[in-house]
Amino acid sequence: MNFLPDDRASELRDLFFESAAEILQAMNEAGLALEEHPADKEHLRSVRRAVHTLKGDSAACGFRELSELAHELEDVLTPELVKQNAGLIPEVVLTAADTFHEMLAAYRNRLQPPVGGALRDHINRLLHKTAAAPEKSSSEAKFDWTEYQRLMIAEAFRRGESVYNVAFHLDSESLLPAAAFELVRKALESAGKILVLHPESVAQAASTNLIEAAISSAKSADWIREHCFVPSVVARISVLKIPVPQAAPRDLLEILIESEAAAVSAGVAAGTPDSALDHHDESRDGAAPSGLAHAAAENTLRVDADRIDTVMNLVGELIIGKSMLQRTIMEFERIHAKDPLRGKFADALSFQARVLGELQKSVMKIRMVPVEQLFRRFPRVVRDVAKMRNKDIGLEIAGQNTDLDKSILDALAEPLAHIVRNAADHGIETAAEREAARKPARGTVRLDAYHEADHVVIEISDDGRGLDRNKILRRAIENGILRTEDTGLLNDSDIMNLIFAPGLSTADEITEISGRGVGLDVVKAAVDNLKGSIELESELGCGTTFRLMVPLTLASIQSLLFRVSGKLYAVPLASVVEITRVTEGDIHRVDDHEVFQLRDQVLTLVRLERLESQPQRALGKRVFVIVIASGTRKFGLAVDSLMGEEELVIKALEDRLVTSPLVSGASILGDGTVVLILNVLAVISYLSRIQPVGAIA
Amino acid sequence: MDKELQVVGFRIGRETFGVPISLVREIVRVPEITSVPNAPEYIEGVINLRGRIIPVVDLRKRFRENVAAPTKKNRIVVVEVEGRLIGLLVNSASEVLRILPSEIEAPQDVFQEGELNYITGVGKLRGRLVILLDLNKILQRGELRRLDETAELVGAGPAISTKREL
Repeated sequence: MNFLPDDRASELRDLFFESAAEILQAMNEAGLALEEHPADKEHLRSVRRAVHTLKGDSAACGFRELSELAHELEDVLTPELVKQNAGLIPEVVLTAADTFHEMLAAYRNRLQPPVGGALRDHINRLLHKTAAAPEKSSSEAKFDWTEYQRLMIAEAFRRGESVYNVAFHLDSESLLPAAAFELVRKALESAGKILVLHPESVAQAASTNLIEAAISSAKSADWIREHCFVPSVVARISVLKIPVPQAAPRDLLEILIESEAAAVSAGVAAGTPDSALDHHDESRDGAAPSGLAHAAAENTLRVDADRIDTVMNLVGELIIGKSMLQRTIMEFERIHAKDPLRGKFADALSFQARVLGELQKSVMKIRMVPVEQLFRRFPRVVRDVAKMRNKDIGLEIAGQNTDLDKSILDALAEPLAHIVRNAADHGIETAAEREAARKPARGTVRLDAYHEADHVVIEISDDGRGLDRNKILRRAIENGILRTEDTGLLNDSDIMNLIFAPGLSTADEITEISGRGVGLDVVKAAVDNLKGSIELESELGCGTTFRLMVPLTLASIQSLLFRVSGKLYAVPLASVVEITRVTEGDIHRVDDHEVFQLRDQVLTLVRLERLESQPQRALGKRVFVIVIASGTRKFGLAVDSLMGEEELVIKALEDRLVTSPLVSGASILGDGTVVLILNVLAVISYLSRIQPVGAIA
Repeated sequence: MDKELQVVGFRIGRETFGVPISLVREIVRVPEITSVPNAPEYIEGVINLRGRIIPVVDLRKRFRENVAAPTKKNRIVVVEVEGRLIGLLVNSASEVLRILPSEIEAPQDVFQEGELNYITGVGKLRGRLVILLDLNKILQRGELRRLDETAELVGAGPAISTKREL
């Protein structure tokens, strides 16, 4: 694709990387399925389709090494070879997926791709084992048209012509292949207009007994078949009408996009329904997708996430605009209390608010994707760990249809993979250990996702050995994370949470898969970053459950606004349990902390204002206390005044100068002022660390 | 024939400073500034610039000048540095100054050391001195300090710190 201008080429490459990731995913899934059901035709077909697409696309992007390797692989994935080596195939497919993945990563970073030794070994083994197998690939009609040839076909479609793929299997008894080629070409010319002919010349035709062509013709397929059949030269002839693309492709890039999309969805759809002819061929080319796959491709749109973000931002601006309008109208009503226009304003405003709400929901829906996109990677992860550690592990997946914002999902991919790997590697015991503990020999890792309030919960649980509290404590002390004398201060969940500390791994041995002491702290950081939280439950001998809670979306949040020392802040309304008033006299000091009583509970009171600016508190003065629950913790936040609740469109405080772990985002109110949304958890831990009764503002 | 350098001049204390006009996006009156908790002292806070939230650096505090009471003349000079918009709070923003390159002296050695290396030169204009600033350096230094503080904040052990509750 060198003739494309640079930006076009890079666009194409991006597109390729994206679709390649999906292709590899399909290969992984097919590989796993083949392990369960060796030589399943459907899965084999999808592997071949994947490899074929990868070959063509990578060639188009100029990734020669990948394309060549894919080509070699394609050559050994013939039905004959596969049949003879059914046992080997899954491993080959999975190795191929890994190798291609590494190569793609290298291309993405503009590095020299790895040679893929492991895959080449597999290929060679397959080839040599069956060296005697007849080389049949030349006798199969593939219609493997090049980009240029596809373009020719697309041109014909644009002219409104019908296009047929025609394959001639020449009679091997025929002694004059060159003459046969000429005869066939003549026949084709009289049947219609030849768009593509392969081989192209008599010279090349000498070495093959297959002639492939694409012609445009006004005649029917049957007519062409009869017309082109040259007795005693052509043994078999097949004619296949290429379905007309619904929207005529406008240029090369679009043809490619379409063929990629079609190839991807072809992973689901089975073989061409109308190819009842002898070439019931899986390596169908993108230019001639089956009707079903094609329809799926047409209803799906690939859009750059940035574009959706732009729309989302604009909707955010509209919401800010709406609250501006609301304030202005309130002011108007105050000044002109009797004006009949008031009612009209109110009507118009509520109509606008309703439409805006719908708009926001729809845009948000665009960004939502089912967590299945994430979960489907894990069967491979678990399988690899199980194989490497010689364990028997099953993976159960539930709730895969739960929707989650795409950006959150992407950010969760690595952390989740880490937890799943950990569960399989450290959580699940070996079969022998499990039987000794009277558990089923097959361990189970379970993934689940569900909605809870405005959060999505993702659970990763295993029925393995569970976490050993004493071991965690010992490790924490050994690694200097915890002082021996502090152990008494920790409750159960504090101990569990120690495993999120940097540099702590309870695995006895460092395995290749996990346990290098980096990981869970990174997982926690990633979840924190998403304004989510992570909980952990574990029963020694029974298993461990990780519970990740992340917000549905990062776009907007219902918040409670309040002022402290004249400064405006907001907290997510979902974390507010109740609002109460406490007189200063009821606030007591216990061990450097201020506490107050709420019914039968004693809660810590947190103040945000600076201590020094604090006037002597009159004992009788009543303060507002917002009771906030976060995870299993509950505390009170003292505020001067409450400003009401509002839906805030979150804007990230992304500039490095002002990012703060204490602030989870900022928003602009209707009057244009900026309000900061506090990250309540971080504020608490910050305050308690810096000074007993601290101040941040 | 030297091309004259256009800088936006603004005053901090008694001195005139200048930044290249190509970096200045706009100059606005000081709106309500929302302060950010736990930010360095010279970060005044954030403002809403037509829907974008941008940080505001108080250059007076940055240069350890006395901060006079806010006046109507105070301005925020919005500059673009490495694709980020940043507001600089200054006493007053005066005018566009045209300085001939021949009138710009490289900073003296004394400026190259330590704290003062954000000066790229001193321009002479009708008897006045204009101190030309390297915004990247000013903001970088600020971030270095900020990073230190954040590291401090994150560094302490996680479980112990969350212990202090009932």
